[in-house]
Amino acid sequence: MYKIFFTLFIALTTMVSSAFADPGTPKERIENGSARVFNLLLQEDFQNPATKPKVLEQIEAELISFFDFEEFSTRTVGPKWRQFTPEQKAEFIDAFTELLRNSYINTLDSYKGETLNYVGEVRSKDGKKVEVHTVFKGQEKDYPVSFRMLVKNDEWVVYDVIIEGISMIKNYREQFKDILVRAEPNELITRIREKAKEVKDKPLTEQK
Amino acid sequence: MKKIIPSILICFVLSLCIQLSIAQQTYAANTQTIASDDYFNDDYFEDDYAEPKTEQKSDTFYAWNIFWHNVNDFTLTKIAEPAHKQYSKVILPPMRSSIENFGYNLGTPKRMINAIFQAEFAQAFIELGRFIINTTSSLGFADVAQFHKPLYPYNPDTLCFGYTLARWGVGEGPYFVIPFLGPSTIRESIGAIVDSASSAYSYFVPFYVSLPAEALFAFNTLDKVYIPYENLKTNAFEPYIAIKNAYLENLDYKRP
Repeated sequence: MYKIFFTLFIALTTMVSSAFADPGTPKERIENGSARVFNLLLQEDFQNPATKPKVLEQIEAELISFFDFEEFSTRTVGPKWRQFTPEQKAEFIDAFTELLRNSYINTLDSYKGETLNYVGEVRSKDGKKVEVHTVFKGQEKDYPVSFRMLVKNDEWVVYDVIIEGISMIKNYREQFKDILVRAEPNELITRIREKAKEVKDKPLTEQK
Repeated sequence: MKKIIPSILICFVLSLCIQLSIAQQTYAANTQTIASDDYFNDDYFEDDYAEPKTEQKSDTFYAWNIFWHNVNDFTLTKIAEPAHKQYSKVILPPMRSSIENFGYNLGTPKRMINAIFQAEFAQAFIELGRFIINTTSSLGFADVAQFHKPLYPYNPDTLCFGYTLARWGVGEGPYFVIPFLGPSTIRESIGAIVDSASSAYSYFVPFYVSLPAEALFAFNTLDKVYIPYENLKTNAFEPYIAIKNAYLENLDYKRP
């Protein structure tokens, strides 16, 4: 009799726990995510111009699951997000994703096996938000990089990147706030699209 | 004999200082912490759309700042950057790093004074040790001391008067763009003035030697300024706001 109860109990608990997928820890997420991207970057296919687009596609898919571009967008716009129509919201997310992609995709080319090391983390009181502190070991200098994360669809996703204390989201936000005082949401979206095009033609200069 | 006893005593006190600061360091190395209430004040769109208070940093000198921002932008990108590009074709990286090291070594007294002001005696002694090693080995042109790892973490970034003032509890003050030098705040500007006055060589050589020397040391490493600057500007929608925000955020991060 006990045996039946016991097996039933085990079966039930496993069913319940499988219904709620475990998001793991933010540390694991950062470590696994960065390891996968770094591995792809070190592949010979990535150096070969013929096969590069395919690897780049994989990397982009990896980055899209890692960073939450919707969170990025809502947070960069801030309070004014409420005044955006659903179409404008969708368009903004699309434009802003493109901007971030064009701004930073070229930096992947200069990757030479640097690592991202976990240092520690800060949790909010309710445990819903975590800031993971890491150190990016550069060629000459180490850069402190922090990732602010939350759980979305049973997975830890990044909603802000803070490099040397400078929050990427906050920096865009301050600028968008200034623009949105004078301009309509549509104007901002057009400006983001223009900027995305501009930075695509003019990649970032490298530190020698 | 009379002279030995005080020196032993001093050594003992100093080693105690160093050990104490190391002990503090290990205690602080706690990897997982719980945030204070306002740490994650980034719910800009959930909590009844309230703007976090810390966001509203005043820009008291806006008119001055925007004017000098534009002038500095022009001087940096149109005059100094092309000049530095020519300069770096002639003066190759090893030469440049030698000049950089020489200039850095001359800044030792300034950093030591700040370490003492901050009661960071271990840092002051690391500075002294580095100065002796680098000066005797190469007159300061090579950073030989970097191969001698001190027990205590060496933080030269903290050894400026701006940091000392922050340590003493002085607020950063409004954002302030210094003509031809770039973004700063009132506190940091005062810090910069005190630091340049406490550079030891300004007392030993006339100002028409020390000022150009300072300028040369700054110009020598200008690529460390204009490369990040250009990148930030390329990505920015409103360069003035982007730079102001990045400077203030980075300052917050660097100061205690």
